[in-house]
Formats: sequence, C-alpha cells, structure tokens
Amino acid sequence: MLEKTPFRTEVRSTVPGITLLVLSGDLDYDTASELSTLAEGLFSGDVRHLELDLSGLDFVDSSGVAALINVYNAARDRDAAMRIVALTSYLRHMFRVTALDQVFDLPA
Amino acid sequence: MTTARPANGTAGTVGVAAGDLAGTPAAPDGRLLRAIVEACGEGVVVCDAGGVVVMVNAAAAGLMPGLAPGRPLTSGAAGALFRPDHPEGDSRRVDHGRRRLLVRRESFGVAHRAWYLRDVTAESARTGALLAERHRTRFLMEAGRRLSASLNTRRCARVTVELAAASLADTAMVVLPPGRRQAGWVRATGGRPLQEGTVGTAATASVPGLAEALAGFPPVPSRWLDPAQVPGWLLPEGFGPAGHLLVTPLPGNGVPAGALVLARREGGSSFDEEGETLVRVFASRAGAAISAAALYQEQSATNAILTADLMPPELPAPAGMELAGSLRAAQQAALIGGDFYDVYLPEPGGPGEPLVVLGDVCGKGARAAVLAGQVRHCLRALLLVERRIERLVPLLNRALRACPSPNPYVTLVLGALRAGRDGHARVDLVVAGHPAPLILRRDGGVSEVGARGPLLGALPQAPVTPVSVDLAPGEVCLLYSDGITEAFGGPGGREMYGARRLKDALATCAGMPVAAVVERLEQISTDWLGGAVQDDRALLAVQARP
Repeated sequence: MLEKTPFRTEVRSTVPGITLLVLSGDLDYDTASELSTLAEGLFSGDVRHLELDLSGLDFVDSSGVAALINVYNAARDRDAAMRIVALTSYLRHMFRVTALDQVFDLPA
Repeated sequence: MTTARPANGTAGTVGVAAGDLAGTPAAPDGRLLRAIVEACGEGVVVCDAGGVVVMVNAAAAGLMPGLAPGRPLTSGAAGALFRPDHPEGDSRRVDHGRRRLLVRRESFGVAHRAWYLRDVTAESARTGALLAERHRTRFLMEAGRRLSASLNTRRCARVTVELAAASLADTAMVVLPPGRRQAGWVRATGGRPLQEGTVGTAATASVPGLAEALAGFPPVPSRWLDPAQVPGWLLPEGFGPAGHLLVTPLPGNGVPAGALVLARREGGSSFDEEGETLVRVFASRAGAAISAAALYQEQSATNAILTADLMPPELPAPAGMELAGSLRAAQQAALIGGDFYDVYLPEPGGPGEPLVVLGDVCGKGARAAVLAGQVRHCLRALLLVERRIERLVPLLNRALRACPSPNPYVTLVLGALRAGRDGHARVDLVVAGHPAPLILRRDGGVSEVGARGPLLGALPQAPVTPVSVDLAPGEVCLLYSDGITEAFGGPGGREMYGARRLKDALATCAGMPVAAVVERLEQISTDWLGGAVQDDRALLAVQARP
C-alpha cells in the first residue's frame, strides 16, 4: 500500500515584515484544509508578505493546488503578497501545466 | 482444645460437669444442650418417631408460629414443609408464604428426627436478581453483536424481532417508519417462520400506543395498553387473544426508526417494570442499528446517483474516426475523484463537429461527483449557443467562478473532431490546466501537443489558444488524466509513473486498434499500481480510422 508522507507546516519569521511558511510532505485531499486554515489565521493577523517554501512537498494533488490558489486569493483579498521562494521541479511542471506559473510569483 | 478451655467461660453458667475441671471431656447435660439449640440461628424442630414435636427452638418458632411441642409436626400450614419422603441429610428449598426456606432433615437413632430450617429469602432474591441481571446482560450483548452485523434496515429489523420473540414476548413485530401510504413490518413468533408485510399508515393508529411510538414519544407502561383493542393484523394467525401488550419506540439518530410491538398470550406473565426497562434498552440498541442502516442505505443510494454523473458515456464512432475510453474510479466511494470524459455530438443535420472532453475536477467524494456533473451539463448547455472550443472554455470558466461551491476548480482538454481528406482526421484542441494530450504517429513516434491554458474556476480570465492536430489513418490522439501519470507504484511502491513512462508505453502501441491501445495503457497503469490505493484514472483516445 502507498505510504503517505505526513504533511507538516512551519511558520518562521526571519526578516521583519516577512513570514515564511515551510510546507513539507503530501499536500493533498486529506491535508489541504490544514493549509487553508493556517493561511486564514496568518492573514487575519498582520502578515502582509507571505513567502512559501514548497521544496519539501513530495506530492500535491488537485485539492492541494486548490489550497494554494485559496492562499493566493486570500492574500490578494487582504492586499497582502504571496511569493513562492522554493519549489521542486515536479511542482514547477505542475504549475506550468495548470498555467499557475503565470499567476504565482515563482523563483526564477 | 477442650483441655485448655477455662472453667469460667460462658458455658460454665449453665452448669458444667465436674469432670471438665479435671480436663476430662464430659457430655453436656440436657439444659446445656437445650441452650445450645436455642442459641442456634437455624430453626430446629425435633420430633419423635410418631411425628409429634418434642422441641422447637426460638428461630423455628419465629418462622412457623404454629409449631409447638406436643402437636403433630404436619398439622397446620407448615405441613407441606415436612414431607415424610424428604431424604435424610438432604437440603431442599421450599417456598412458605412469602419466605423461601432451606429445609434439611436428620435422624437421630430411631426415636428422633430433627428438621433444620434456614430462611434464605433474601439470599435467594439476591441470587435471583444476579441471575436475572446476568441473563439480561447476556441478552443485550447478544443483541448488540447481532444487530451490529448488518447495515441493511430489513435485516436489522429481522434480527430485532427474532431476538425479542426468543426472550421478551410470544410475538414481536417491528413496524418501520411509515411512508405516506404504508408502513413495512417484520414479525417473529416463537416456533414459526418470520413474516413480513406492509400495513396502511392509517391502520397503525388502531394499535394502542403505536402512533405515539412511531412519532417517537416515550413508551407508556404496558398496563395502560388494552390488549383487547389489538387489531387482527398485528398478531399472527392462530395466536389467540393477546393478554399483554408493550409498544416501544425504536429511537434513531434524532428521528424514530420505527416501533417494537411485543405481545404475550392471555394467561402469560405481564410485563413488569424490570421487563419494560430491558425492552427499552434493547429497543434503543435496535433503533440505533436500524437507523444507522437506514442512513447507510440512503447514503449508498445517494452515492450511486452522484457517481452516475461520472459514468462515461457510450462512445460513438464519428465519421472517419474511432474512439475508445477507460475510466477507472477510485475503489473507495469516499475517494472517488472527479475524472470524467464525455462526447457531444451535433444534432442530426445540425452544424458543428463532435466534441470530446476529458477533465478532472478538484477534490474527492460526493462533492467532486457533483462538480463533475455540473461541468458536463454546463458544457452541454453552453454548446447550444457556442461551439467554438476556444470560446467555450472562457465561458465555462465564468460559469465556474459564479459557482457557490468551494473550490470549483476543473482542468480539462476539449477537442473538436473533423474528418479530413484521404482518411485523415483533424483534432482541434484546447487545454485548460490539464496534462497536454499525446500524439502517437504511425512510426511509433510520440509527441506532446504544445497547448496549455489555466485551470478553470480559479482566475478571472482563462484565455486559451486552440492547437490543431492532423492524424493520418491509424494515428492516435490520447487524452488522459493525471491519475495515470501520478500513479504511485512501481517496484519500490512509491514511484510516480510519470509522463515519460506513459509516452514510452504509448510508443509500443503503434498500429494497434484504438480500443487495444486504451486497454494496453490501462493494463500497464494497473500493473504499475500493483493494488495500491489509487486515484481516478481516465483515458480517452481518438484514432483516424486505419
């Protein structure tokens, strides 16, 4: 049977004014709501610049993509900025297929 | 230890033989014996060979006031206790008025018999209560075990009446929650086959207490229900008149799951308070089981309706082309993803080309099934006013953006099929957030269609550019969902199948009929998964007729 990698989130604030959210494991149907809830909490606080480190994500399904879109939309609704600072080639390919690479702020 | 016994003990006050002081055992005299018998907690009655009482101690006189020396033992109400055939040394339990006595007979020589009486009323009651409690517990455990074994309402109702008829009453009926016209029932009667039937909803009102129980009101005590009013349909044929009736609601999850009707024959014991309590506890277990089964059945039926929206259509064969598809839904209902494909043919004689769509909606389970159904119906409606695929996609995006359900995101490939010259087929494609289709050439070359666009439902704009693909006879355009490429499996079990392997597998299919191509790819994908948990997997292939 397929073993799942647990989904983990870690919030760091290294540079003043910027919150870094590090995600790892499987961001999928079972875990996507965790990210949405977490993002809600961050934006309802005073987070104005959110950076996402996605390099530890092993798998993202359509629900995971939806959660990332929801974080992006939540940021936009509150005039905050969301930037993806690190990702895997698998995710870059996925963002390309879904054309989200033209929406999300991705590292070069 | 007699030798060490001090002379001034309590026994000394009634007189002790002088020899005792010297340390030699001596028989107690009559007065001492009398005192010993009097002090005994057990009742002692001594009678002579003729059955005349010669001695009665206080305990025996307390239990049987009629006993007195000089009277025959068997006179008066106590006669039944002292039966001449009572085996010697044997203890028997005998009910005497409200008491239960343990009676033992001993013989002393030929002249005397002694009867020992012990009041065991309280002890028996405790033992009886314990046994009854054990019996009730065993019954409820058995009920719990058997009721939990089924998720079918009828089967749960059958088990309920079988258990009730075996332990609680002469006949037991479960009346299921009535519909607008009728209510189903199941009945068990000791020693007869189970019966099932229906009764008009109005007729349920003729059973005392049933309408209230079906409405979920608490049960009324059995003694308030008049068994003479029971209508004929309630009892099995030849049952005889009911002597006692008990109607108990079967409480479900917030709604009544029906009612349990118990009847005992005339002359049988009535339902006492403890019995009614047991029935209520039993009914609450049965009600929970029946309502859980009802909910499950309802949910299964709903799931079946919902997933019907994901069922692929029968594929037509448009002019000059062959179509083949495969949709493997995830095995668990809750994991059903939203993969779908569909074919839209123009109205006979109407304008336009056949369209194919293969898509994947966000999420899993019923919500995904509903969304997939919405997308398919939405496309069908939009096609009435717009057949250009590059216009259809932005329209669908707008429709999804207006959709109130959470995450109404869809990725899809939409293709318009046209027969070309010399047996060629032309496929115009737009891709919206979906893996781009693959093209299999006659020489085994495989390429990816260079089209892409955003997933739908998430962004205000969804511009797409159509790409045209020309298929020579036998060549294939393959639409697939990411369930194929993102299938985890392989030798290590956690390797993604990936687009590379899919392309390689497709390359081996050159020259095959399109149905065989789809079947082969599906088989390879299934082998890769090796029985692992799987997402939906969809394949739809278009081939220019070879």
